[in-house]
Amino acid sequence: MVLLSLAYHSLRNRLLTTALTVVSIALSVALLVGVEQVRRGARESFSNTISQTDLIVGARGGSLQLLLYAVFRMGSATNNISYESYQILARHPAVEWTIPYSLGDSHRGFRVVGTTEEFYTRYRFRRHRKIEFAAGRAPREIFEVAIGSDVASALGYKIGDAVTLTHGVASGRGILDHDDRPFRIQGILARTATPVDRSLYIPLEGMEAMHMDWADGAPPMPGEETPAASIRKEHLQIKQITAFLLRARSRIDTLRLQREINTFEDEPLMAIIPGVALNELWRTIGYAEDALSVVTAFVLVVGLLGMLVSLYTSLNERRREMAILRAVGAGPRTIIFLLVTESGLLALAGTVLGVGLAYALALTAQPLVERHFGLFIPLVRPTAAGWAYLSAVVVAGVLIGFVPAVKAYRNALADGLGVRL
Amino acid sequence: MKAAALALAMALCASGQKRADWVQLRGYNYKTGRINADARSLDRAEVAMVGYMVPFDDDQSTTVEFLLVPHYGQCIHTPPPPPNQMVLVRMEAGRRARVVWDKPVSVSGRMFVEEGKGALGRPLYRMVGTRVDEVTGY
Repeated sequence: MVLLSLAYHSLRNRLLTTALTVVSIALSVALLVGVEQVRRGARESFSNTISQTDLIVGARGGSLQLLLYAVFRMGSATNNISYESYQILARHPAVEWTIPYSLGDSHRGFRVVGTTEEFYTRYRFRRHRKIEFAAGRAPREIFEVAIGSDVASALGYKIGDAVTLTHGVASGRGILDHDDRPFRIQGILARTATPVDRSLYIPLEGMEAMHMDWADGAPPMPGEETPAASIRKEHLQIKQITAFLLRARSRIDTLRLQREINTFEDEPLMAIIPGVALNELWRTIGYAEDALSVVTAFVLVVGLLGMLVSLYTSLNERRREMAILRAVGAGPRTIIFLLVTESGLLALAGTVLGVGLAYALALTAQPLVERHFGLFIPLVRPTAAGWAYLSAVVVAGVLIGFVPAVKAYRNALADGLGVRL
Repeated sequence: MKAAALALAMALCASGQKRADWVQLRGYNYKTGRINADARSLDRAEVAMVGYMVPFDDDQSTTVEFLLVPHYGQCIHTPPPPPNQMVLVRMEAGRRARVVWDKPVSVSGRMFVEEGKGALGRPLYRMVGTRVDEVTGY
């Protein structure tokens, strides 16, 4: 007990060095914990985006690409699928429901999704949660739009505002605006913390109407377009959609349906199981995650080495202290215990501070990160592996203490008691 | 490998559970609807089956429903397993199974053999799972 108090007071006596050492360890521990939090946050944000969907169907291509554009609104499709094929499959006896998506347009960097009522009633995320409205209702008419909560907060829109959609998916204002046919905001979706928040939702007919009179990939000449007011739902023929989500009546048919879609005669289609595709995604990203962990580990090693250096060099200033301790009868064990306790205390304090720092940062940065990157950083307790790493840091701190401890004991007694200091 | 499987089988026998295997499941002719005695004996039996999991939900850690199939990855490159080579497992109320990828699992629970040739939406084999263990030694 006396030794503990001695170690504590000795550390206090060198407050600045002690504080700096603790801070350097704390920073590396905070980085370790922070990286782990972001990693788990990314995983959870990604994997809670689509629930209760058995298959995602799109034009044939890469399964990851389909997952990314259909669910995460990233990248774009290489091809659309015909509305006829969609209807054949939607009416398949093994299918319970489908949600069609028509993609490819944007509004100030936010993707526009053409869909149907099914989206508002059937779509699920985080296992059972469904789409809810913070204000207004689902769009019914051709030129009505519902917007995700991020869109509403980023652009300051409210119910009744008119928005102009842009051809293509550029970020920011586009050049080819569909400004002849503005959409009126009818609903604002409640926050979901998924990519759903970052999109605008219009009826499939709206998507078709927006591109009416376009010929050979270019908009109609001024004066040649059909006036928006005269476009009726009945006049519109939906020709194509980009992808659709599908739920089978029973999951026993999922593999059969997947095969049927993948070998669809009329058109090259592809069906993926969301869970399987997500797992594939994780394996791809896994390397980057590992690289990140390795870098973090190195930072931690550097932090611990910094502690070693500072303890070791402080021995020079402490020759007198050590010499006095030994003169009053402190044996090798006592000296070693003292220094090892010191470095253990430093590592412990650094770790505790680091963990605190990481959580404080996560707490303050949470809303910011969520808004800008769509990543939800959960404030979760460290995993078993996390605890293991943290204890390893403290143990490493204790072990490192032996180096200066042995050195301190070997320093000659006369060295510290001599007159020349 | 075989020794491990044998040890597992013995451990299961000791616990009063039958071990169902994929060959036994083929005793249900899904074209004619005929079920032989061996396959029928599985109905309402407490069994353990080793196979691969095909989970559906986006939740990458646990699931309540999944398909048990005899080979991993076959769902993509070749036709899916025939109806009598798939078991639809639903975990007992309140239980969730840990998701295991590309490693075999042993699923314990009560097996139900359904009549009716497995028309759309009707599994031939259904199981109410009580536990799922990762099988090592394969």
